[in-house]
Amino acid sequence: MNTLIDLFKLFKKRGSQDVFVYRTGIRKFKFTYSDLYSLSLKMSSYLLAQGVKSGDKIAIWAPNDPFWAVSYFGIILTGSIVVPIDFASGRKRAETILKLSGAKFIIQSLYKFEKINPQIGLKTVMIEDLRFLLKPIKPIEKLFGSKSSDMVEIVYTSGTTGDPKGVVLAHKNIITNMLQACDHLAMSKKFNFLSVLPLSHMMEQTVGFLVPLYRGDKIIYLRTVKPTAIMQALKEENVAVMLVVPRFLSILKNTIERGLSSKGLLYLTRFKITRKIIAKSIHKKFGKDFEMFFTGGVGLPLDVFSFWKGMGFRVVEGYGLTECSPIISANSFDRQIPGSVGRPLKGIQVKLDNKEILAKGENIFKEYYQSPETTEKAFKNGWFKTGDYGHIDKDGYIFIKGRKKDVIVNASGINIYPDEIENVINKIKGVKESCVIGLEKDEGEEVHAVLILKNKDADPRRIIKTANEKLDPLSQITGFSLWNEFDFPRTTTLKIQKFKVKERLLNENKKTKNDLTADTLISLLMNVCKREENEIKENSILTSDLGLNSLSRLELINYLEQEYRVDLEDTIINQATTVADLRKLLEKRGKTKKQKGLWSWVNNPFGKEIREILDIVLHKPLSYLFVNLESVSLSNLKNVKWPVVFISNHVSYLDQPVIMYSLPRLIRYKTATATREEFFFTEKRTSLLKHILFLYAIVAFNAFLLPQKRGFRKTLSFMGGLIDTGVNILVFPEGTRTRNGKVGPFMQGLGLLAKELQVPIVPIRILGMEKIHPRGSWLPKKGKCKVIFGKPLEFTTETPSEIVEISRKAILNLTAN
Amino acid sequence: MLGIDIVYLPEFEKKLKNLSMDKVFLSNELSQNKSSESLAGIFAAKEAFFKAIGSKMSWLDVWIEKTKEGKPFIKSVLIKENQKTEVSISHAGDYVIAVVIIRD
Repeated sequence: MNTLIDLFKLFKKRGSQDVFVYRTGIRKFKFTYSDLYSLSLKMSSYLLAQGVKSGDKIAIWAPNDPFWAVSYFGIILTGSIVVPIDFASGRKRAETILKLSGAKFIIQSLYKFEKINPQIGLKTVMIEDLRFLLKPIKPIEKLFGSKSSDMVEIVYTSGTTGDPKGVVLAHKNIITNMLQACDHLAMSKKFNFLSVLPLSHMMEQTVGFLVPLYRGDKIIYLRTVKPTAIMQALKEENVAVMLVVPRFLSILKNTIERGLSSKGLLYLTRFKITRKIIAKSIHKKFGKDFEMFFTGGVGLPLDVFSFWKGMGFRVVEGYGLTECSPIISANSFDRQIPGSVGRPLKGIQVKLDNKEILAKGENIFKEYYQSPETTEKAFKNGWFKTGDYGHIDKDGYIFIKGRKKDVIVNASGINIYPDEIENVINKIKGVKESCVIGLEKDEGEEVHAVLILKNKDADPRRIIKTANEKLDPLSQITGFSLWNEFDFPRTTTLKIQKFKVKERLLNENKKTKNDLTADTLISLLMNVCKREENEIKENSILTSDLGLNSLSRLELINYLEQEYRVDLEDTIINQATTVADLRKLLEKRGKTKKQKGLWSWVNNPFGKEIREILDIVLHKPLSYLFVNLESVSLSNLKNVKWPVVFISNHVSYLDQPVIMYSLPRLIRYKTATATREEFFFTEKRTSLLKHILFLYAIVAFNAFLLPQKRGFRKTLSFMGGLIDTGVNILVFPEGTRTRNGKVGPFMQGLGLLAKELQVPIVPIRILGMEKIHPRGSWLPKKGKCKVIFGKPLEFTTETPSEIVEISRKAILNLTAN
Repeated sequence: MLGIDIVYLPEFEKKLKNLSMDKVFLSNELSQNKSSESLAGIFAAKEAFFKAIGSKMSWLDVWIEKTKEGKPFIKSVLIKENQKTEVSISHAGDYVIAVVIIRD
């Protein structure tokens, strides 16, 4: 195997084996290897039609998504070059990279607020639109004949001064590292990977993407990477491997410890036996197949490693740089040495030069894009100078002592570059020199600034405040110290030795460190509401006292979610919420009430059996007494892709059973029905009869509740779950039985439902029931009923109200003749 | 029922830059509206809608679409089928304002 195109050819043979699961929070969309194969060929064809030629640079500025993979291979198959851009970075950085690389095309996302507008010489497409755009396209027939030494990707990393540097990677660099990583980790079983770190970083791309694709594993992507989505995926998808940054592990450790200590159980982790019991409950949350975390990027603190090891988790730490595609060394699946980044991968030579780590191998890049000077500085006699310092023990294990870039990586894997922050601070009046480092703190540390002032009168708090106003919200400085010496410790090349600064800070008395405020919540509120600390009291009302408006509420919730790793609806803050209320809510960790009337067991074989028996002994004979039933145009269901959503006009309470009996038996018992919540439960007390009716409707008719006021999205996820397990759904979009015999207006939720569920909609028209059992009547009369099935409708880019309109027309068009 | 909301564009742009957009906007709102002015208008209209119904609900339970002529209309899962909604959005310089009426 020499090129990524060779890797791609493997996909065809794997056929219907699953490659991706895309979890939207509502549905799980599956992609097979042959889907990936044919979609990528179509993507190539699309790009060629857009005028892309081999050698062109094409940027991907989008979140992890199966279509990121499709774009990646689509680009490579045309012989053009992938330029990944971190989705978390702002438009300015994206524009810089576009300019530096000379990209002709950019694949971006609807979900980014700042977009790149198409301009002369730069075309663009939204990754979300590819789902529909690629459908009608004819795949290319001939793959580009790339050589292994051809450039295939340019990955931009931050330079210590000025513009980012473009690391040019050839097919052979990436393929070599991919094979080396597979060989080193030596995991024989097939694994499911959960991919949450950005694919624009080489660590996720090689270890979390190409390795599993080569091995024939499955990768899970999340539309929204949030804590509950991660935990749910771990539990439901049998995840075995997850790539994380150390910060993720330390935050999760804090969350677990906080949970234990709030129950007074933290001391149990100290004893071996009790720790085992706790470990068991934690393992349960990770699912039965969980095997390991793979981590890298920055050093993994020893206490974090020990905690997870103590809980029986395998944490495999590796080391690498983008320039090395990226892995240089890693611990192995069977053996992890605390504090070490493991042994070099097979085929990579590593040596020390004055403690600096140098590396050599096929995985190492050739040059920085259009930058021969920087390239020359990066090598010494053919060895790549990593700029990191460390030592190697007699068994060949590498221990890192200091890193050149000292990148701070936050929990979501987003890189914060200290040099960019230093540049801002150093321009502020009163500052002589500064050094920004990442410091661990129990609750969201991140960015710590160490200042040397020009004179004693300068106010460091004012300096930090000024800097924070200029900085990106992601790179806000959260603490500072003063350095009372003339200068920082420096290397012979006059670079600040940050690890020495950090070491000294950690050893020194804690008093010298100044947190902007000790309390995370208060500091977030200060930042969001632009208030001073003394203005924020525990009984301050967020809206009226602190001036929180709808926008800053969103911003606050976003910060809280990142800090406390909880999912929050911004509706938790209302007109009367105080700081103390919010604190309490956070302690409860945003737990929400379970929604009523969503039972999934009724769709298991047992539930089906109950329904079938009830039908045979009771419901069917009853219905024969009154209804002379005829189903019309059932043939429209012949070539349908199951499952579907049935929509029908609503005439009587007996519509549901009548539709069921006109469906073939196999479909009948695999169909759930949405029922209006307000029918059973209103604001008034619900009568016992209605409670019993409600239970009967769920068990005997496979009903679930569709609320009108609150919780529409929760019901939507429930429906997504039904569809994922192959269950059809019947909805009466009028929401209520007709009053005048005509088809009434449709509920708007139908539009959202069709867009989110992405399954065919089958229109149904019921005729005759208005005579058999009209609104207001008690006992049904005998009569004829026709149930007419229409052609399935499929929706792509229509708006919700267009979907409602088209669906309603489709039902109206179904007539008796 | 009546609701009104005003949005200050520079603040909107600054804050939305770092937020996950799928918390506030539906995909069709994002694909139909690329400029920050029109997204700010949608945001204001949603907030005005919540003021009109008198409580804060999920941003995704209400959405804005446009007629062929470009006139916005507002739809929601939070109101009854027989209730009618109207919306009007206006821009001037750094400000965007929206008014929503819900009638039975």
